[in-house]
Amino acid sequence: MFREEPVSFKNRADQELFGVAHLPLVSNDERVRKIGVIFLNPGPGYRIAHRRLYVRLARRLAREGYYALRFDPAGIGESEGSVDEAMLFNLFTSINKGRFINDVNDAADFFITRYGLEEIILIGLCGGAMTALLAAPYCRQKLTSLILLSFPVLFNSLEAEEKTALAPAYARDIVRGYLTNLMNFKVLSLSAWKSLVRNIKDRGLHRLLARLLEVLRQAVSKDSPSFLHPNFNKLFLDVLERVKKDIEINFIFGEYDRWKLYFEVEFEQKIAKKWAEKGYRKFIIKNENHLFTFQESQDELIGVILGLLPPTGKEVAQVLGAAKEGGQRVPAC
Amino acid sequence: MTKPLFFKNKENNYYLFGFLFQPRVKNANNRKGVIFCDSIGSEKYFSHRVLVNFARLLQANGYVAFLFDYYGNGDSEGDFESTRLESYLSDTKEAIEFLTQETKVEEVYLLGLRLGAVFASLVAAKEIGVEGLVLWSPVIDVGEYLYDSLRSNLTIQGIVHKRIKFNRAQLIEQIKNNTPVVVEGYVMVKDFYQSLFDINLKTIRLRPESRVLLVEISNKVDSEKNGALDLIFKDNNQCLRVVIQDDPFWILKGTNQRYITSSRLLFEKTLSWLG
Repeated sequence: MFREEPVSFKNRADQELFGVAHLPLVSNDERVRKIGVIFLNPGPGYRIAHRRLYVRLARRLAREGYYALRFDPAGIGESEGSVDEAMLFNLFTSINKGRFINDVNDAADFFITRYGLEEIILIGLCGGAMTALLAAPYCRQKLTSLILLSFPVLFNSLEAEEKTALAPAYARDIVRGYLTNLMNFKVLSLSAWKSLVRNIKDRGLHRLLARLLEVLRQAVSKDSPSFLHPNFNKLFLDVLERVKKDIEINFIFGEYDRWKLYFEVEFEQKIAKKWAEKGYRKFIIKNENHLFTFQESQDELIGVILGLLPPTGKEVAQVLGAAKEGGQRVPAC
Repeated sequence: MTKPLFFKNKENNYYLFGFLFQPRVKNANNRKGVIFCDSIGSEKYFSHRVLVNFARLLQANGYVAFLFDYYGNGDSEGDFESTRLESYLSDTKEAIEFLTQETKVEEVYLLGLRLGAVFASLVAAKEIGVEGLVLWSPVIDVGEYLYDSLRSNLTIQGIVHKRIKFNRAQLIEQIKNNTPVVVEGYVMVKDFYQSLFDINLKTIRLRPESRVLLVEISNKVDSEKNGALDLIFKDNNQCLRVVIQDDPFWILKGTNQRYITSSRLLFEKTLSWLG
């Protein structure tokens, strides 16, 4: 069983941030370790995450004896502050440069102090994963592990995407997509033609043709592993160097997430050997996309995450009965 | 004061999450409370900040605003697949009761977005004590809306299976035969579908004294869609119909689009209508 309570705290800019804490109902047995897991918002999304993924994960972790916090940094959800970026990809870029790292560390201070936690783990999806990694070196508290879902090694930018000289691995992936569409008779689909017309209108026919030629050229060329993608987020490498050796780094991807491909091509094939001594773990959830859409995969994801968390020792302690009604409490679902 | 809280749905014995925005200024608006009836699924997720910002605007203008999550949605208790039309309506009624008991609000307005506008209308049609309705781009034909929402399942099939194994008509049949179907990560089950699919806003009859602001938000002139507004609540002579040209903030197509956190015209129009 667990209970939930809404929380609020001030960040260092004196803005009030809001969130929900999930608290296990375990006894005060000293053999039970108080371990906290903080969920970091994915991109511009708020604390529930796409498909309510964070709500499901946090509730499951609380049932297993962990403390969990889902909160919104400044300008997100109900939290104070504002986001001034006009375009979404500009907001993504600012997040991937560390926009929220102070709020994460303020949240960690609050969470640990409020519930007397012994250690914390950061979990994030997409932009939240990058936030977790970028925040890690600045964490004043006992951070022991990072769990990074659908980690984005590249900055989002439509303009940059067009300028990018494609790596052969991506080009082949794109050509595979074209062939699949052809085999599925998408050529007969009205919406596919509408989408093409819209694309021509937005980007211009000459640019689309140039892009197509580049894709085909790269698809038949050999891999060139030394070429670094111009959108590669180099902050990621800087931070890896600074993250303390005793922090575990875990990457989890959906099998069909394009960010998995970017991670493998841009980081693992080109750079990771340099970081071999650092060590990290990577897990793939079968038949899944970027957002872990399917319930079965979410269950598998939860299993992987639980396997990565240090044991709380909950099993040695007596689990208390159901939460009482009233106040700010919610009984377990 | 802005306060996050849980409140109980006493009828169904579960807890719902809400945010209460108490007025920052003292004026005649203090007796008016606006309850937000959210949409569901991804529409709820993407529109969240816009609703929060409108709640803050109401708060700054002296109104009480209350955002809450339906059972199985947002931060509230439960799983989405356990939700039914009845739970959405019951939750809305509990929110009205909570707001009137916890604050000094004397006039309650329901502000519904998309499918939330349908829930708000159904409650207002039956409940005495709802002063007025604000409907932002309401879903008109719920069956059509649910059918459209299955498009995301086709996209996922394309990614995972590399082809479309089941078209939308087949997915509907699966749901009717008790095989749940995932729509943007939310599980659509038979009971949910059957409780909702035959609702049409055009057939809902409000009480004649109900005040209504009906707003269609569209980034292009769509005369057919806008014409459909005239068929809603056509017996109600207190219904103001407005079309606002703006991007639909409950849809996210990709990162190459505006990051929408407010809608100036929509906010101004709604605020002035509330009085």
